Amino acid sequence: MARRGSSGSRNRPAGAVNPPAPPPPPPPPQQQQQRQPQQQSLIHEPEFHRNETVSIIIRTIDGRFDSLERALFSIYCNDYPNKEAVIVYQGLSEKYAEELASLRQIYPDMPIQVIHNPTEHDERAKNANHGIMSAHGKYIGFLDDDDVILSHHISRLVHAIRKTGRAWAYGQVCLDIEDKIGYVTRKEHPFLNAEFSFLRLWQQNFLQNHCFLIDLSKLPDRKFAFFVESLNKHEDYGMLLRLALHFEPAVLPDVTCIYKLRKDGSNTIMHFGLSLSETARKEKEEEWELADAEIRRLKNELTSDIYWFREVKFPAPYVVYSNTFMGYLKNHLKKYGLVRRAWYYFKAARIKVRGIIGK
Amino acid sequence: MNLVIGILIYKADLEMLRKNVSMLVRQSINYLRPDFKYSLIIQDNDSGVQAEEAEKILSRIPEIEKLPLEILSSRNVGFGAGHNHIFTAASEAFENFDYYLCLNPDGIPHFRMIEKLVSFASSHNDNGIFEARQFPVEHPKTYNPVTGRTDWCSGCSLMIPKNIYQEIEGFDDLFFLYMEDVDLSWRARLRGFGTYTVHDALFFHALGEFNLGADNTERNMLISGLKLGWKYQDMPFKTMMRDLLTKHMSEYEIEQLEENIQEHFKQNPYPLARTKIRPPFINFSAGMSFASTRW
Repeated sequence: MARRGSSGSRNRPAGAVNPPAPPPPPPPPQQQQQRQPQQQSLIHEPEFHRNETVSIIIRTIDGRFDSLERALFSIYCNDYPNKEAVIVYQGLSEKYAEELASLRQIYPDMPIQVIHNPTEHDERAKNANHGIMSAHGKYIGFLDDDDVILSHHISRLVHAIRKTGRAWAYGQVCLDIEDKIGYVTRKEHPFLNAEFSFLRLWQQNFLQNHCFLIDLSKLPDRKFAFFVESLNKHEDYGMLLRLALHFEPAVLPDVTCIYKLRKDGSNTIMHFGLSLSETARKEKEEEWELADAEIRRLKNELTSDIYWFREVKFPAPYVVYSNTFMGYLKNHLKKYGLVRRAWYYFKAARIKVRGIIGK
Repeated sequence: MNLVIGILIYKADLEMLRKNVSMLVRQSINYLRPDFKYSLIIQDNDSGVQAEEAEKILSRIPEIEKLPLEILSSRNVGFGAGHNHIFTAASEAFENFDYYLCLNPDGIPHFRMIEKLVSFASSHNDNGIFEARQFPVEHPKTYNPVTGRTDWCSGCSLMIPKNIYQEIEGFDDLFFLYMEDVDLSWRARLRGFGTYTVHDALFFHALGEFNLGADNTERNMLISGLKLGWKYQDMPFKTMMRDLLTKHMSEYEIEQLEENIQEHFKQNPYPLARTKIRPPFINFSAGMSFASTRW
């Protein structure tokens, strides 16, 4: 992995002329500016290792208050005591940011940070990184504002990390397919991955953004958990590749979180929408191509020092969502209920007949 | 008083109870309808073993003084009989109240739960019983998210108008634990009241950890199933329950149990005694779900 050179003057030869100062970078949001140096130095301090707080980072945009509130409620209901929620709001409305801050009154016994990134551009990776920088916890996790975690999600993942000594852990995800008003019509388990395979991850991202928890104290740097800012699609994939290349995860076989999918796909970035114009559709396709190219570049960068990686034979791409024969069979096994009922009718009738004959 | 909330505890997780009561204190209805008053009655079904500790923990909740709270003690009479006891105590304590809300201690109400339940009930002229939607793991039974219609309501967060509770004579204490809510819902429907799931009212219920193998959960469920089969005279269901119970009880114990059930029905008539055709909502064909399921 290429390392960037230090910008400090410590290694500069004596007598060297100071180069002209580079133009100052655009100022980041205020909260980040205050926390960055402090948090950076923290992760290798003994005090940070003793810190057992889990920070869950939720990125959100305008008009998603209800679903965000539901996500926050699922964090609050978790049985792990030391937790905080870090909400990163991307949008221009000060009023909405204040509304988000008012959530602290509903959950006064759970610390909630609200970070405002006042931009109209899609900076989802940057927003996650703002959250990581502001998080007070030794452990960090993520949650999309329309997904939820189960009550044991945090405690089980923390337990898995502690027990195995690994740097990160993930649990299984259940898929809830909802209609427009949030009525769950189907529940499926297409993402079950009880055995982690790095090569499969290299082929395709099968980990949902809210299924894992990272122990920051085991990473070389807090920035190691940063999302790749050049990516606005599958931005967590770059980070997961980097993380998994260096650290093996602990895997929980239990379902610990729920991925909410709208029937019409309108709450996913994969959604292209029927009403999309031809130009907008082309733009979206171009964005996806760019993201794919960026992922390829990132993969090359990550393995640039590993010459033998070129010889690795990859498994077939993982089919994340398919109607397999077994799935079909499982769905139709409900009919078995009728067969069983008929059998008990028969048994009951036999008992009755015997009773009559007996009398 | 508009609403009385009843919580039964028995070897309960008091931290969960603290969170539950904290959210009851912070309900949105306090700000939206300041005239709406509610109080809480907790009954320790373990003869008051946890009562003192619970009182101590709950007294530390900020603004707890806003919520009138009473803690009762009783021997373990079961879920239905326990709630009937709380309801009687509430009727004696308050001259009048509109609704009774039975709430599980192993869950947390969403801060808008009461507001949503009450507004939905008002819009339906209080003509039914109203359950909150379980969250994040929902019960698989179907419901209409727009009209709220469902086959039966779960007792884990169930709001019942006082007059309906009195008319249907509350829970049947034949059931110790499980399925008393199915029975209550069916009796309500037999009297012409509706059973509704309020889609917007969320009640967190730790179902993820629900383990059939743990202690006597499966055994208690099957016993209640057998009682329900007897009560609504479903022969195949009774046979199925009896068969499954043989894993947990001897034949002699099952016979004794069935004799006791029959004894109970000598004093209390079967709900379907006068009905020739069984209504379709009394649905034993879906197994222990008692309703068509979504998954």
